[in-house]
Amino acid sequence: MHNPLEQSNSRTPACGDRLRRLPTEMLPPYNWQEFQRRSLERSFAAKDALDWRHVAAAAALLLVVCGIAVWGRLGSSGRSVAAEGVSAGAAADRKSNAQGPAGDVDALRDLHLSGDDARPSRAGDEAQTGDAARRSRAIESWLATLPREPVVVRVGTRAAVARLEDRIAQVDDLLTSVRLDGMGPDRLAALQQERVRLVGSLAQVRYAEVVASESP
Amino acid sequence: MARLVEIDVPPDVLASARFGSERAQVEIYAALAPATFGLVRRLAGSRALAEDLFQETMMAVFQGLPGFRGEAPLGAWVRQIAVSKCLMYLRSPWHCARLRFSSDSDSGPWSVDALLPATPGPRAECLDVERALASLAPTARAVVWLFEVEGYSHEEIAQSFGRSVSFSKSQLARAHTKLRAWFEPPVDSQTCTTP
Repeated sequence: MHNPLEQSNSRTPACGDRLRRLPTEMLPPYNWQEFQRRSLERSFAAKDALDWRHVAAAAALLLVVCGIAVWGRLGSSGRSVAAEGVSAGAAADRKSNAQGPAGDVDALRDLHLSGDDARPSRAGDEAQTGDAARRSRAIESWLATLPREPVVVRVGTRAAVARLEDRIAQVDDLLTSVRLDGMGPDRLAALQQERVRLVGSLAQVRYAEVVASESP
Repeated sequence: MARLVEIDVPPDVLASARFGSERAQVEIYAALAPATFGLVRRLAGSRALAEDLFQETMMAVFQGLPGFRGEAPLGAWVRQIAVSKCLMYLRSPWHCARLRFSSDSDSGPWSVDALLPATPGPRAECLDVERALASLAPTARAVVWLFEVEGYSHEEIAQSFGRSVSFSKSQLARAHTKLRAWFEPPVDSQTCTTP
């Protein structure tokens, strides 16, 4: 409750008195029966609204899932390329697993030399190389957004990541030597393609690692 | 006429109402409804909105009745609920947007000009206290009503609005200035000069 002395202006009490003289009671808009009817109506409406909220939430969730799926398929970002690289990367993984670490280098050298057999047009090769480099950069930029180290480190996953990183480094070495030697663009394109596959595989493994570390 | 804060109901009626006796609930409704609607009507401004807030208030009262400890008169508890419902509405983004919209236009729903009579005549005669109160902005009206009639302190008003004490004081001062303009029309300051 306030103290009347709080009123600072000598003319103010006149306003207050006038207001206090107003009736404090008013005829209620409706009686008890009507109040009960409206209460029931409101509680039903609230229930309906609750159901609609559930439906809306489910629809929103579905929309988000569909959006992610479409974005993953059509988008030109690293995610789509990563998804594309999964199958190729997995195949490369299977091959390297069967052959062992030594087989990786051999396979890469084979790939490096196999460019001599197939000689598509020079312009086509250059376009392919540029495209592969772009895709590789996109995946790498996406990889850069992932945390450097996951919360939970699994030995198997870590080993796979290390192996893939080694193989990417080897491909980079080969690419450098090919560029320095001034060899044909077909070899460069083949190596770039291989690099994209490897980076795609790495993205896949890193993504799985992050998801696994975030799940309880 | 009883103020809402002074209304109390016999303990046996309250106990019966808590246990779901409809007769007791009707009795409580009859005791509280006029003063509750009066308060809500003053704070809300428009009748349609007041009816809506009154319904919400009374629903909250009957839903919360089992939890009412009876440490204060029932009316004081109901007043708290009614004030809280009204201020919640005044603070709502929807209401703020509506106010902003109406303040953008020249003649908003609470503008003084909108309340002026179409036929010319002295202000004091045309406009009564109710209209003067209705001419205030919703927030200022709520502050002046809570302070002058319900006896709230500046601290209590500030707490209810979630604002500072100076907010309450400035709103009250502004409301008083406006009300004085209604009640005490400015005297012509021109002096008579003899030739």
